[in-house]
This record gives sequence, C-alpha cells and structure tokens, in this order.
Amino acid sequence: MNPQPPRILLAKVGLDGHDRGIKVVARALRDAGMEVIYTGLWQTPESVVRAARDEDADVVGVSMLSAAHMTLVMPMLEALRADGGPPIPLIVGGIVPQEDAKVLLEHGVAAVFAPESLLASVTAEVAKIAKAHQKRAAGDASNEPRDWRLALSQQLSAAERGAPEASAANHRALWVGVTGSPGVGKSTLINRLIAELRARHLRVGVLAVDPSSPVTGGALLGDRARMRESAQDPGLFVRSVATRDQPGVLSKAVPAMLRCLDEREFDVAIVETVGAGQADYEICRLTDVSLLLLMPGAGDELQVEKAGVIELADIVVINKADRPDADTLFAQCREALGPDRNIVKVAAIRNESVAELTELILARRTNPG
Amino acid sequence: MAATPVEPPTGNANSRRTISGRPVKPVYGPADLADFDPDRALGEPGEFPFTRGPHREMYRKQLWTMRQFAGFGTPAQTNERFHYLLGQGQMGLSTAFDLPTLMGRDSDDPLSRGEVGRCGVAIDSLADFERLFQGIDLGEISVSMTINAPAAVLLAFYVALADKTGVPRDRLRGTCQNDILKEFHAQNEFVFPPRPSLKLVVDTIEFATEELPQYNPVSISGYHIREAGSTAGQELAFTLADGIAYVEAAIEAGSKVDDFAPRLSFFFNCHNDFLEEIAKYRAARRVWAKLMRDRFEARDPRSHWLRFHAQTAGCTLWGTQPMVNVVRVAYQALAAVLGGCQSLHTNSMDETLALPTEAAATLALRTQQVLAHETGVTSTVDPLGGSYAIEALTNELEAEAWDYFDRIEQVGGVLAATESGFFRREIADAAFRYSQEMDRNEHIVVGVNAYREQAGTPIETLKIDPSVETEQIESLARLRAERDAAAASAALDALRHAAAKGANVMPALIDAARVHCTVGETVAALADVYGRFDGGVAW
Repeated sequence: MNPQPPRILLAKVGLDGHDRGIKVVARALRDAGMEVIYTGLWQTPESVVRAARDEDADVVGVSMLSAAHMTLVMPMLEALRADGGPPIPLIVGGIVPQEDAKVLLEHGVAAVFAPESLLASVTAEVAKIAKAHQKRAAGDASNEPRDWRLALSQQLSAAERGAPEASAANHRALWVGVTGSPGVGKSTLINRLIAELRARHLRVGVLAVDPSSPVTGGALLGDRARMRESAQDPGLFVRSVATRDQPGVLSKAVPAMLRCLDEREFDVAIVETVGAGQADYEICRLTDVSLLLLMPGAGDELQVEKAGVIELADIVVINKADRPDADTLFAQCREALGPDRNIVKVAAIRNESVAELTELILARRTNPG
Repeated sequence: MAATPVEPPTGNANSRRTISGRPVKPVYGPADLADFDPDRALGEPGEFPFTRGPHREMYRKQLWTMRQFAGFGTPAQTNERFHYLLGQGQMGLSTAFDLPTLMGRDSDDPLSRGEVGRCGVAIDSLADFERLFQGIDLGEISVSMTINAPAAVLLAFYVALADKTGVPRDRLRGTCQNDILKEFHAQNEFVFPPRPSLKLVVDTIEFATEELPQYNPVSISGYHIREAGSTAGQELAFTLADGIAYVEAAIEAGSKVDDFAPRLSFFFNCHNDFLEEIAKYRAARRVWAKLMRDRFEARDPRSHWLRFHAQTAGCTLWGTQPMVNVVRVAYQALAAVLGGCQSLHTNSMDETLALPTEAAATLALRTQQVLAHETGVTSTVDPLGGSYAIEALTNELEAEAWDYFDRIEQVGGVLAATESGFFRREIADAAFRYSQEMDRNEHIVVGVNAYREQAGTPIETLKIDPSVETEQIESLARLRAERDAAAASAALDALRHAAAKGANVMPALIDAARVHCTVGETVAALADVYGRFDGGVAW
C-alpha cells in the first residue's frame, strides 16, 4: 500500500468571489505535499459536503469574506456529521470576527484562520488535522458506509492506494478518454458532455487527472471547478485524481478506478488526462473511445503532422471552433488523417455541436442499455 | 493596553524593494534621468501628456470629491446613512450593493442565503431604488454605483428613477463602475461570458454618449486587481489594457473615439508603498494620453486625460490593532492626493472586520478633510514632479505597462488573454509570492508579524440584523404580487428579443425597470440569450 497524501477540499461558499486567500492557501498546501481539490466559486453548503464525500477528503476548507459564515457553516457541520463515521473536519478561513470564531469552534469547526495567519502555521495545522482524520477513519473501517456514494468514494481511495493490476477486458461502461494540451478546454467540454449524457438518462462517472509534483508529492486538482452544472445530480460522480508517483498523463490507479465505476453500474466513465503531448497515447489504448482536443491558434497546427496520439485517437475534436483559423486547422487535420477519421468541430463554451459529438461517442457502445 | 514589541523585525528588506518587489536605489540622481525631457515627459499640468494632472490648477481650484462608499441592510437603512454622510460634508454618494445584487440575483434566490444586505444594500427592483434615494435630488448630487455584471440593469433603474422624479437625463452626474473585464481577472463578480459581457458595457457607453452627457458610464478599475494580489505595475498595465479593450470595442460598434472617451474614468488602488503609488498614478496619466492620441487618434484633449477615483487598499488593513489602520489609511490617502486623484474613498479602520460603523466612517472622512484643509499639500500642483526618485519610478512603471501590452498582444489581445486566464495567473503568482515573502518576514507589517500585542484591542463593529433578509424577501414578494405581471413578462420578452438581435439593450432595460421587473429576473432574461459563465480557469 502506498501512503496517501492528505486530500484537502477547498471551496468558496456563497456568492463571494474573493479568492486571493484561498488560492494562496491552495498553493501553500500543495507545496507542503498535499493533494488540494478546488471546487471553485459559488458553492452551496450541500455541494461542498457532497464534493468532500465524493473526493474522500481528509479536510474540508471553506473561505468566506462576506459575513455569511454563520449562516453557511452550520448546515455544513450538520451534514458532515450525518455520515455516521468520523466526520470530515471542517476548517474556515476569511473574515470571521473573534466572537463568531469562538462560536464556530464550539460547534465543531476544527480551525478558523484569519488573513494574518502565516502560511507555515496554516499548512502545519491542516496537515495535523488531516492526519488525525486519516487515523480516525482507518480505525473506523469496519463500519459499513451509509450510502453507495461514500462506499464508492472509499473504494476509489483503496484502488488509488493499492493500485492493483486491473485489465480493461469485459467492462460494462463505455470508457471515454479525453486528452489534449493544457488550456484546450477539456474540462469545459466534459462538463457539456455530462449534460448531454445525463439528458439521455445515462449515469456518468468522471476521473479527472492532474499532475502531482515529483518533488513534494502535492497536487492542485482544479478540474471540478468547471464541472459545476449538475453538481446535485445523483447520476453523476466526479473524482479528482493526482498522478502521484506515475510520470505521464494518467495515474497508475486509473484502470482500477475505472473498474470501481464499472462495478457501480455507471453507463459512461470519462477520464480526463493531464494536459498531454503527442507521446501520451496510453489513454487511447485504455479507453473504448478516445478524444484528442485541439484548438486553433495555439500551436496545435504543428502537432497535426507529428506522430503520436493523433494517430490513435478515435475522434479528433477541434474546440473553440468559433475562433478564426478553426477551418484551417480542420482542413489540415483532414489532409493529414484522411477521409475516414472522425474530425469534429465544437465550441464547448457555447455548447455548439456537443450533441452531435455525444452521438458520435455513444455510437461506439457495443453494449447499449 | 499591553504594548510590548513581541518580535522586533529582522533585516530591513523593506528599504530595498517596494512592496511589489521593485528594486529601489538608496539615492536617485541626474544619472537616473539621463534622457529626461521635462517638456515631453511632463508638460504643464492640464496639458499633454498630463503626467502632472488633468487640470491646470488642480486642487487650488477644486478639491477632489470626498466620496465614501456606503451601503448596508435595507434601502431605508442606507438612505439614512446617505443623508448622514451628506450632512457631515461628504460631496458625492457612492453606493455599495450587497452580493446578491452584485451577482444579479434576487433576495429570495437560494444562492442569496445569508448574504442579503450584508456587504451592501439589497436592491431587487425600482421600488427599492426609490426608497434608497428618497429625499436626494439626483439632479444635484453625483452618485456612483459600484456594480458590474448587472451594471446595465442598475443604470436602467437609475435612469427610470430620474425619469419618474422629473430629473432631466442630461443633468445626471455620477459613475457606474461597469468594468466587467477586471471581474474576470480578479474579483469574480461576473455572470455572462466575456464577449457578451463586453457588449453590455459597449451598450451603456453608447447610451450614455447619447443620453447622459455628464455621466461616466464606466470606471476602469485596477483597485480589485491590486486587492487580488497584483503588483503596482500589473495594476497599472492590466487596468489600462482593459481600457484599451473598451475603447476598441466601442469604436468597433461604431462610436467615434472623441464622442465617448472624455467620459471614461478610472479607479485605482492606493496601497502602502508611498512613492511607487504616486509614480503609478503619474505613469497612468502619461501612458493613457499617449495611447489615446497615438493609437486611437483622439483629437479632443479631454479624450487624452485620465481622471481617476482612488480608494485606500482594503487588503492592507488588519484585524489586529485596528486603530493602526487609521494611520495606514492617512498615508495612503496622502499618496493618492500627491498623485492627483479626482475623488477619493478612505477606508474605515474597521473594514477588515465588518462594514464600517458610523463613527469609523466619520473618522475616515475626517482624515480626508484634514488632508484637504490642514496639510497644505493642495496648494501646489504635482509638488513631487521633478524629484529624481519619483520621475525614475514613473518611467519604470510606464515601461512595465508597455511591456505588458506587448505580452497581452502576443497572447491574442485582452479578450483572448482573459479567456485563457493570463491575467488570473499573473495575479495569483504575485499574490503567492507576496504571501511567501511575508511568511519569511521580508515585509514587516506592524501588529501582524512584528510589534504584536498579547492582548487584542477589540473595537465595536457594525452588526447587520438578520431580519434584513426576511424583510427584504417579504417586500419582494409583495412587489411581485402587486405589479402588473403581464407587463413585466412582456418587458422581459422584449428584452430577450433585443439582446438576441444584438440591439442596444438599454431602452428595453429601462422599460423593464419601469414595470418593476427585478434584478434577478432581468439578468436571467439576458442570460437566456448570453449564457452564464462557469468561472473559467482557476489558476
């Protein structure tokens, strides 16, 4: 079993957009060797608790600078306690007057950090709280999780720690890989695909992979922030995955984690790779359908001629098709890849042509229904 | 009070670099200004390139506007604070809206829970606006509104209220912040995606050009960029880059630069590093003047000048030893005045803890009054002009701005850079660097990492009554029940139609305001056409 770095879920709750502090803290925790999952803005108490459970977080941290902390923190504490097992510790940062901080601590908040808290003391304290929770949770392992989401979440963690060999043979779900350079819009496209798939009543699991630092072991996992539209949907499960000690674009545990999703009878399991280069074609071998995202005006034109992932991807997706030069890139791909390859143009942020892409993906299902 | 210096600072790194990390020499002299030509670099005050100020006589003729940002609770409560501030000698009003209003949501929206009336005044409809400005003549008092994503909606409320109370539109004075680009870079109060958001700003600029000749339809803001952790140079460069984007968009939409440029205004932060801040304002005026004359070929000198509001930096205030904040604010305000601001907000010492109490807000206003009437700095225009250090820093900041403009151009311009998260990354990198430096005691902050006091010295803070939320939700329910529902629904349809065909939406927004469509309904109708933005890239 590999040791598990502390997993810290950080969230902005409510409408307040001041994210300077939370982003600074996220980086500091990463540099201290932790896996930091950032949900992004505008979370509700309910969505934070759900994300913390799905991510099997060891600590949940919320940042609030709009004086809504008393209203929003109490329901989170309650929901975290309702899980039965040892509740995930909740920490609060931001502008919290001393008398409010006292009340929050009395009600079970594990720590309250102020703007003047030094980063070194924040990271040390969070590490301590996370470790204590990991220990408590391990001691509680005999307890049956209260529902399937918690059970799946824990299985995924076990798969990550143990990284057992898993083969891709005979899986039930359609395994979909999404790869492409950083910034090409992978998470945004997946968010749109989720909506299309859910509209077709298909249950969707997502593994979103981001890199771990080879030096500290820490990671910033931010893909969740762009998969927000269906945050309360029971047919959707999103898990952020750090590559841990695996060089390349996938965690060693991804096949085993896909297996976990398969056992829970998901219809479609999507893997988002780390922003990848041409040499990272493992995803094409692993999944049933692999999508390579390209975008105009980002140097992807040069990639078209090169060997590698572009030769293996099942569908080449040209994202941001509303930009100038999209047609040129399309023509280049067509010329390089021949008439038989699937090449589609979409504009994920505007939700253009995503339905057509969804149909193309689902056509690969050998076992529909 | 137990006032013992607990941990005296080590080293004197503060004296060698500015807070933004800019190296500072022990002495500046003629060698630092080798190519300096005062005629070209400075000109006379009130003349190109306006380095020394937009007006010839500056504060000798007219003091800056002392404009304290205020708003909390219900419209009636804020109205009362407005009257109080005017009674204390404040010269203009500045409206702070609560987060639901800023985000285009009604008070009864599930996401508004816990936030109604907390950080500003809750506004749902024109009826709330009437209450907010009761007893205030909009033809006499200039009013600034800090609002961005739904700025066009609130501006429509303002115009509808003026129409209703018989104030001619051409007498309306004031400013709408309405700077959506910096929301994507820094403050995160956006609703629609960047491109339609920019279209809305252009609509308000066009509308103001036609209908509101004395009104500033946009206040291009670096304040929030700085608060998010940028350096002084980034604040300067990104703000002016946003300005370029608005000018380009308005020209592209068919406006002539000299028709709207004189009404563009700016809003800068006023941070701790005294000389660097003064240089920043001077550089801002010079760079903008050159941009407007040379790049956009504006002919009207009023298009060349950069007028700005300044606010002392909220992020420099600390909850420990809050009284010390009064001192910080005073120095920051002095920098803004020596830098030639046209209006100023001085933060209250308690703003890092809560919204200001009346006493704290009054003291902040008095700080400006002392500056204006007792220090004598208003008697001489640009008194630091010609200082080796100030001119060298001004040159350096100007060079940094031009460098950033090139980099932004290389990544495809302001919109593309916004969408790809260029600005966010640059700012987050700077913020993280600063926090790490503070951790290492490379920046000494009194009462925080040095000169700490064992026992805190708590001060009274303003408490917002939780009943505000219920009260506001009830009054919204009454409004919905009593208004002409068919008229409201028809107005929203007309708005969707106008937005879909790409017309200027201001007339449709004013119509919707008149029939009491709410902020949330109006913004939702626009979102039906424009879509909502999911937050983009985080890092």
